[in-house]
Amino acid sequence: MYQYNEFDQKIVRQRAAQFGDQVRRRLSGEVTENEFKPLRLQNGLYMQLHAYMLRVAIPYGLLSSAQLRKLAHIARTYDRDYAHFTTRQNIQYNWPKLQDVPKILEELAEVEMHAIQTSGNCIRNITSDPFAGVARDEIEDPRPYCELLRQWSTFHPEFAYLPRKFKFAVTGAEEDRAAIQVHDIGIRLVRGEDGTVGLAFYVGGGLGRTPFVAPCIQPFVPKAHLLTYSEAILRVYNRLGRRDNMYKARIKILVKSMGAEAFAHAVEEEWQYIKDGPLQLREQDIARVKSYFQEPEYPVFQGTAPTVESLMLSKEKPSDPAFSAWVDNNVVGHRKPGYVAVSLSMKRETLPPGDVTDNHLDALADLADRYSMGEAVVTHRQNVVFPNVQVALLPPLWEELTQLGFATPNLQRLTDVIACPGLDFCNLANARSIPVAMRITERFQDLEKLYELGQVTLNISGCINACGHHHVGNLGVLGIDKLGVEHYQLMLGGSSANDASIGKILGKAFTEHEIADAVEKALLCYIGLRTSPQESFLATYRRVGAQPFKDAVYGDH
Amino acid sequence: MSGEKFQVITANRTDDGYVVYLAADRSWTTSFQDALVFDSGATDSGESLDGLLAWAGLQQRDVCDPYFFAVERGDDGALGTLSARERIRAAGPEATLRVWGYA
Repeated sequence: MYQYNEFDQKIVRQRAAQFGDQVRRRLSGEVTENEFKPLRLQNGLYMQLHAYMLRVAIPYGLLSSAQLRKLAHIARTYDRDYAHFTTRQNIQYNWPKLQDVPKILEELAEVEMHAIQTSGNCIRNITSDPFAGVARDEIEDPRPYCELLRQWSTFHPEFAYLPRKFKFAVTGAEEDRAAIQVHDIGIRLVRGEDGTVGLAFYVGGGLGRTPFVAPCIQPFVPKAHLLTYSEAILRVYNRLGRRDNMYKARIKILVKSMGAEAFAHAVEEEWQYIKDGPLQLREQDIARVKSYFQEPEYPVFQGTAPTVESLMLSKEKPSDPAFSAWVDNNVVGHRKPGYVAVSLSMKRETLPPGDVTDNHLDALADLADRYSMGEAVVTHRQNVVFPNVQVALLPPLWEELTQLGFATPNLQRLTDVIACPGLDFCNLANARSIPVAMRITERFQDLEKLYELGQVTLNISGCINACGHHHVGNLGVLGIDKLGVEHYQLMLGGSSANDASIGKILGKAFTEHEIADAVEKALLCYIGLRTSPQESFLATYRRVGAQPFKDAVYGDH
Repeated sequence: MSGEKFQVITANRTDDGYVVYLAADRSWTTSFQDALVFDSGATDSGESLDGLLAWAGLQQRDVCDPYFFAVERGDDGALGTLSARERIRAAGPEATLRVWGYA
């Protein structure tokens, strides 16, 4: 993984010291809240419903075991012994005291982490495919390009005060597992007609109040122009984006109002001014960053490398059927023979989605060291991936994950719920998300019932800002406020994959006590309508439309 | 001023961000039940909601972003909230790992 150089280390430590002085002046009364607010937000420090919240960046979700241990230490020392993985591969602390935040930033700097640009109208953490670097369907590892974007965008003076916040996602795989089409800029590594690898730019996607799937404005940009083309897009947005109305200030509104073709033309014009300038990447620039992401030294197997299939036929396979279910659901192929990538499910009926304790984080660090070459990846579905696991070590890993409660075989199943913190924590939320997620999870604990539903995603947000990605869940739940009482809208038909689509509201909202029933009725309707168990919920919905689901859900309502 | 009959003033404490309420002695309390109650915009001693809210806005060292919200009084005199947001602010999050016994 990338390692800070002297410059990286210096700017992160300087920022921690600078914020320490700002906090001192705030606590002495020299600085008012109005003056302090933009300063704290530039360091990822929000004021939430009950306390401050510190959001820490995890570039492209990748963590070393040393970083996991530091995150555990921070949770234990400065917070209430737990933290929360977000839908943008970050981690949040819910209860830091103001005077402790500079110390937390100093501790983070020790392990090459920070909270810079995790808030405010700037370029935020760059997200990516959780299987980046090991996926079998990958054209090229996207992480070096994420890292180049991170270095370019950190403290970029021209883009420190954009019209609104700005989010990049990058994938190098054929299957989009990074939701690139619902980001401000989504970049896909693609192979051109002559076989060279370049970049396709999708611009103007997003969720929130006005959700859009991004159009592709440029299907092939040479890799050397990753930064020049990105800068051209940002310049057009910075100049033309709506600063007069925060609800119309995201780039998606600009792209929609100009039209994708006109926007692409404006970018092309801007690009001509800068494309041959110093931001053009030389081969050695890319090679320098790639050198940090070279594949680890995988042991050479004597004879044929073991496969999942050979393990399942061997006597090393645990007899418990739960092991087979876990392998089927949570283990995916690896580009290196003898290895797999393992998804740890952080979802169960008594665990808020994405929440982890200090002990969990320490345990994850130990397991990452022993089973995954010291690395783990936070996913945008709020789970954790161990990217480098030997096939032969799956049985003992499963045993240990089972003891921790992270071996639930429910990846991409209904109970693998995305949920934002909602009104339990968030100052913007209208309704709670976590209790709804847990109630639905509790209802579908029966694995047979869960598997009968096939692969289906359920995403829950506590407000229209859509941190829980409700628009792109196959089933989405949106919390709203009706005269001070929490209600929930159900929407169907969303997807954040290659076939990205925005879900549509099914009908009038439900109370907190009704929404789980409504979800179950929609799912039972699907079972009745599908042509075969192989037809997914999304495929059935797209084939038959909303009306049968409306009839099923509202028939006796 | 709100059209609701009873109001209290609330803010987040500067030191830790915790939810606090303005009390009768002009201190800030974390106890919702100890909040100073305004009846139709004034206290029993005649201080106005608008006046005390303006005063609270000047207490920048101690609290952040004070505002008022409508409350109700039960038959037993206990204060109650009228919105889910203020109910959860007063009671704390319901679904945390600490509540569930993990942390």
